[in-house]
Amino acid sequence: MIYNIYIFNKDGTCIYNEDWNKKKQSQNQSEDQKLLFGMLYSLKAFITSSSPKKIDDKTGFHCYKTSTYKLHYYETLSCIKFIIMSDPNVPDLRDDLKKIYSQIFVEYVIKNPIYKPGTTVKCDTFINQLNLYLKQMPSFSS
Amino acid sequence: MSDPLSNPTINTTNVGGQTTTQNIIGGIGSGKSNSVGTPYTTPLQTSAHTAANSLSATNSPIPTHHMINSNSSNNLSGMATPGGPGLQQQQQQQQQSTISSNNLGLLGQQSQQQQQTILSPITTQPKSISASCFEFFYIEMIDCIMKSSSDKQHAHKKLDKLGFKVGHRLVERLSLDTALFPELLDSVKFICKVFWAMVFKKTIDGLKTNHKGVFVLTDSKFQWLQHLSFDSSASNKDCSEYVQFTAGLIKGAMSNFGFKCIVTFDIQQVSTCVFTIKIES
Repeated sequence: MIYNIYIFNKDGTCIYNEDWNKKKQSQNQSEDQKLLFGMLYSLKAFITSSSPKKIDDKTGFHCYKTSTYKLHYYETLSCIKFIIMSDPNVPDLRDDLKKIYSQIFVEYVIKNPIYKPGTTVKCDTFINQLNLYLKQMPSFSS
Repeated sequence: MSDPLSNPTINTTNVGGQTTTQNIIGGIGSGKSNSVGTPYTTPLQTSAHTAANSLSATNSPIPTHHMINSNSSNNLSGMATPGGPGLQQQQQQQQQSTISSNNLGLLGQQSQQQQQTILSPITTQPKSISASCFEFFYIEMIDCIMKSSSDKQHAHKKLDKLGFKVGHRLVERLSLDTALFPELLDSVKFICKVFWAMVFKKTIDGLKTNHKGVFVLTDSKFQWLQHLSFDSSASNKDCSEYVQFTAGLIKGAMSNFGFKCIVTFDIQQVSTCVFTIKIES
């Protein structure tokens, strides 16, 4: 089961988020986004500093799991962060996040002449393609 | 050629890591229905080839360098060789000029040899340029023109003019080895197949005509609108400025073939573009 997706840009603003299959609605969306970004930021910093070996801070952290959900994280070289929250049993989604970035985000957002960089993504082709992609995944609603 | 930058092939890479290999020449050669006529296919292929070379030559520093070399070598050897013994007598009287022209002659020979050894692998490889890079450049060009002009109509006029110039020149390049077109329809077909394949990597999907100087060209997957999409809530869903340039391209191409025409276009559904060419008599 996939619950939601967040896309953060370089400056930490959430440029896209969407929820599916959620039982509990969030009270304050923008507060949630800020908290999530802050948490990931410090988590990443901690992971890098506490690692016994030198690790790349873009790939060092890719998911964490609690008893109720699993967070999948992918960061591009351009510092765009893709986050999917899912059921704890869902297998690794790194490849899917990568595909969402390279085949959907770049194609329909970055190459969209109408899109102004740094603003919230509202292009309908992107939203359609993203939904199409996620919904065909076996783990989307199981 | 040990330097990795000197590799003349520039593969088309889309930014997201998705790679599409395109073969412009193949695209033209394997045109489905040969409506232009058999005698034209071979010369068109070669013309497309030379055009592809010239495009890539501006992209890779090494081939350009050798292009210059080969040009200059031709000029230099042209100066040095026909002189023969007669010229040398004159040159003996002016020692300085002898030295310099001898050197030039040597230079010419050397670069001719270089040209033979280095240019041969270059000409055999198919070449392409980055489609993503071009698309981003195109977006910025439109943006720049839209911002710099006072109203939309003015901007469209500018884009049309730009397209006209580009089309006019491009057709010159593409039709280098093509035999003369006996009829108007052949010129339009040339635009549909060769010209379109060169610019958009695909041919026009539908061509209709009333045989009285009106042609309707349909491209059901117009390249420059492929990635464009609006907010579902947006009130203004006009993207004609991204097509106006192409109307200019067609106009320029037709004018170079000797036909003055009016080109209008219509954007239908998702990325389907219909161009109407109306010949002015």
